[in-house]
Amino acid sequence: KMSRFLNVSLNAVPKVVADLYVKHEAAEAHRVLEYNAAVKIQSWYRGLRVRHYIRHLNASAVHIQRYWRGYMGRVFCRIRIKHLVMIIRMNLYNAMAVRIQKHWRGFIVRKYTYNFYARKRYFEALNAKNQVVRKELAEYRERSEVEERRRQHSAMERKLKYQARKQHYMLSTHQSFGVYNSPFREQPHEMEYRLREARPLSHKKTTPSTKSSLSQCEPLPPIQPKIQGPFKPPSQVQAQRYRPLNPSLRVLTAYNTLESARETLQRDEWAKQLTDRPFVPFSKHKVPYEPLLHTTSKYGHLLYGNKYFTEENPDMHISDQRMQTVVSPIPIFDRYGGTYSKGAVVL
Amino acid sequence: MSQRQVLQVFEQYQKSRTQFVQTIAELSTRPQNIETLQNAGVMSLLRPLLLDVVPTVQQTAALALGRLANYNDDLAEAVVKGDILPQLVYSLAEQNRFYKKAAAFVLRAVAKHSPQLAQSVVDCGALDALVICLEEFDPGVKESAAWALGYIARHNAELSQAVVDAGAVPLLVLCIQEPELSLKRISASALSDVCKHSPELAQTVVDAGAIAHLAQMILNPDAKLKRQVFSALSQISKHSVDLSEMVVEAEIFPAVLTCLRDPDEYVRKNVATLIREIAKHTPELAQLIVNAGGVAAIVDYVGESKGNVRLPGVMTLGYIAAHSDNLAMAVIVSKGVNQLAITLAEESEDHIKAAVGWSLGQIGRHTPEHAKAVAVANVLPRLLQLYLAASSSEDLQIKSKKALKNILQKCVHLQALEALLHDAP
Repeated sequence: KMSRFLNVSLNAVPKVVADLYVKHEAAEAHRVLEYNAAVKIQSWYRGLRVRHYIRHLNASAVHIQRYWRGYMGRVFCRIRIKHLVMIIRMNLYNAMAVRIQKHWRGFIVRKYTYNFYARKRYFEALNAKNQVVRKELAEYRERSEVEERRRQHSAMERKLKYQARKQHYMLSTHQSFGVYNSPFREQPHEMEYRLREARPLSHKKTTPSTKSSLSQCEPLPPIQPKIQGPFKPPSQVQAQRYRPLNPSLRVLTAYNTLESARETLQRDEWAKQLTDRPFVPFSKHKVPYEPLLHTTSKYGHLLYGNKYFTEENPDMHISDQRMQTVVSPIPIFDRYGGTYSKGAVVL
Repeated sequence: MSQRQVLQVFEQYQKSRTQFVQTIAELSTRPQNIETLQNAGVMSLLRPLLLDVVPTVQQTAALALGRLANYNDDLAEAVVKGDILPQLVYSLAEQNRFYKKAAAFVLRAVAKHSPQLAQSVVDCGALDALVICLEEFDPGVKESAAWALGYIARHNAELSQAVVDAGAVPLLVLCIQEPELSLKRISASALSDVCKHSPELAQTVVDAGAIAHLAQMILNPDAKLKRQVFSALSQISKHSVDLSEMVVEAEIFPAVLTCLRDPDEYVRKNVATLIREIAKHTPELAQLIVNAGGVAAIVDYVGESKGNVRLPGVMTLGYIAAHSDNLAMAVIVSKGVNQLAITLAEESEDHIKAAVGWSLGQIGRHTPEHAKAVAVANVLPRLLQLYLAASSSEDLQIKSKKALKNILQKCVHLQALEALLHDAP
């Protein structure tokens, strides 16, 4: 063992040292190269690691974003679905409302605004009214025409009557035929008849008489003479005529007999009475008590009718109650002075 | 000369003056004498007689002057130029009632010819004097004063305004209530003349309470009074809806329809005018007339009358139908279209035919039903003829063309359309 160690250490060391030197020089020579290569390797590896890390980060970010976008998308999708549903519903409601309104408007227009039957009825009523109006107007026209004709007729009549009165002398007589009663006519003219009925017109002014009102009255009818019958004897007639009045008791009594009888009675009683002032019991006439001067005192006057006349001073009383007897009452002492009569008292 | 002889001279002079004036007054009643009188210079002679001492001479001189001025406007000019009017106006205030009547007659005669003469009458201060005359007791004086005021107010709106400003309207309304028939007539005609120019004047008359009194007189038997009353009411109601409503509120329907059958022609014409003025404002008023049975009465009226008198009736039917299709149908149902067709065939005057054409256009323009009703009455060819005829006036051509257009726009009645196709221009 030791030998081997001494052997090795003595033989191998310079070789080792020489090798060492050679290696060190080689290492020195390759230091830069090795350094660069090491750097390269390290940078590659670091880059690898970083890229891996970044890739990992990217993947995580993408992962997160994927989930997030999915979530937001679903949210928006939900909102859009809600809107869509609402639109569909509103369209449905609109359609239903339109349907209702369609029916309603058709109904209301046909029933009220352009009510065909009401219009028809209105025109029928209008026709009836028109006919009524036409009838009434025709009647009015007829009436007014009749009135007019009557008026004209009466005016003409008056005129002809006045003419007849003026021409009354043209009346035909038995001897001479008048103008209007020519013999060649089969019938006299109508003026002839008028002349016959007319009262002659005179232009003399009649003076009104003083008793004009009386003379203008119609005369009374004549009194027809009545037959006078069998006459009674005069005494009977006298008796009948001058029969005395025989009134009944009721008629005889005046309406004030009762009162006058009462008055007479009262007067008689007054004459007989002794005093004018009638006696009435005391209860009717109350006189206030006037106390005597002798009995009044400076301490005032106690009202009559008090049970005890002793003076009382309620403020000085000790208590409200009356004095109570401690001893029971002795009857014989209560009767003191009252049991027997006093006998004759000498004044 | 003794005193009696002196007095005799004066008496003679007075007698001759009286005779002169009375003869002149008598002569001036006949128109053929008036030329001669004018040439003889009667104006200058009559003028000093107006200031005469004797009242009879004054009155007769005024009467003669009035008759002369009444005849033509040259003489009225001469009266104005001769400065007679101020004298008359002055004495209107002072003199007795005969002179007042005569003076008012002169003023009326002068004012009736032209607006300038009426203006000169107003300038003399005649209005105040006439209004004072309206307060007199004598109905004859009131009548002449009201007549003069009516003639003044007739010409134009300014003169009417002057009459109203003088405070005449309440007095005229009082005059209407008087029992004398002629006074009522004249006051109604004066009120009608005042109302016709403008809505404010009509409102003034209505504010004085005229409508109630006019409405009361509708059923009066006198024909001339009814003429004036209806004329006044129609002048009031023509201006605005409110005035028409006030006239209608006076409950004139249906009494007014009775007067459409009055024997007097002008009463009927004025009633038709009144109904036309009421119907033209609003559909409600037209509806009121229709509901009262007025359309039937108007259709009968159109059927009965001839000539110019028909015109208001025809226009009423047109106005009623113009408001709405229900009312047009009411006119058709009351046989209005047939009557209008007959009128179109009968009448010869262009303006009446134009009015008929217009009314038919108003009836037929609403719906096809209405157009059919009009077409069935064979009216369309006639309207076309009128449009094409060279002898028709411009107005007639325009109106018939418009009516045809309006009816044809709604017409679907094939026969009538075919008949028209042959003649179509």
